[in-house]
Amino acid sequence: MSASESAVVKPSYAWLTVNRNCNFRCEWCYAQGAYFDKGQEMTLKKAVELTDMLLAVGITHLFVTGGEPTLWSPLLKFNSHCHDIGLDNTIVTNAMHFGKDEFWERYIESPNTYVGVSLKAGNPKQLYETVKIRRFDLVTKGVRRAMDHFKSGVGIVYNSHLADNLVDICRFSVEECHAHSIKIDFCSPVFVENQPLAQCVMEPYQLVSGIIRDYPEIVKLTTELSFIMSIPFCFWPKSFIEELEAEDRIESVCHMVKREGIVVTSDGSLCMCNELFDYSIGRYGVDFTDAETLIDLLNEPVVNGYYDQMSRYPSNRCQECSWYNKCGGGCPLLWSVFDPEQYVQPVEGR
Amino acid sequence: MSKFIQMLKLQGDVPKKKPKGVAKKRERPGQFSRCECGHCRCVVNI
Repeated sequence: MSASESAVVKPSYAWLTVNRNCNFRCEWCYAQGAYFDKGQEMTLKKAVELTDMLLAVGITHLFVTGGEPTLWSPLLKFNSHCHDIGLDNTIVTNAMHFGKDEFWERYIESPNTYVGVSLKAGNPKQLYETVKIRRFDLVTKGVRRAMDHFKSGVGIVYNSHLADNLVDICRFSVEECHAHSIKIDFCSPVFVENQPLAQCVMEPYQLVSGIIRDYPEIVKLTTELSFIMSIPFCFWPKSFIEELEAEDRIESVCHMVKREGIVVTSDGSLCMCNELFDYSIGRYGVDFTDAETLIDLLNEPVVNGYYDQMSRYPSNRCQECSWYNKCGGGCPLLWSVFDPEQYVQPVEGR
Repeated sequence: MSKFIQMLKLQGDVPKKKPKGVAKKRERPGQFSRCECGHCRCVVNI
């Protein structure tokens, strides 16, 4: 019996992808697969219906994401609805729109419960190279506002643009933007027209050596540091993983592998991961209409089979590894580009 | 979805048990957990 067949699957959190429009153009973003289409915007009516349904399913937290959700016109009305029904929600944003006074003044009248800010650059040149935006002043102001208002931290996707600048962007986040914490994640492939694109994904061993080199400097900036370990543990020196664990600076295994979260996109498509919006497993109004039919869908044998396939050991050598329960084999999407047989080494055998 | 799965070079079996993963031990107000939207992988405080 596989893991997914052993119990009724009932997600505990969800992402609502409310739009695809964005004011940034990150090369590693899945939204490029939707061409940042301004037309792909969830209606307020659909967002409210979906949210009420997700609450009935037992969701305890909702993430509002995009695209760039601060550009989603019904955002403030939607926040009021979440407030009225008592559902905490987090907006996931690059925060540039927060830098505009007129928007910020309206926004703080009806804010999300929390904010997650994704920081892309630590100086104007880097911002332009990374996301093709020149308004570094506006981004800085917006990020700082979010940090100060929500007492928040930043997330940084370590990618090829940041290979030699990670310490600088971390310093900028703490000293200029007042970030209370830093989380570092690793860029994974995006999928456009059934092909993986990995131009910003770093070669795993190059990534490991860059992080090992920069880690001592980053720790001097903040002790509230964490790595979202989407790279298998066996790629790292054992002592480094042990240190991160001892210092409480590591998180691992994504919601898809644990089957704890679901994603609903702007047209009501149900997806296993936000990067997989082209590979929907069902659609609101067609395959599910309410909490009961959504749970039924998530427990159908064919859907369980998809989750099983996505959660396979990258290599059978992982079965021998004493770290698998904590590591989970890393982000499954990595294996669209890299061959596990070339990389995976069970910890016991090293 | 089957088409996507074929793109992956996963070569192992399906585990009998889901991996538990590592979560932050010290949780306090203002400390942040991951947003796993797959978009930005930014942080959230839940």
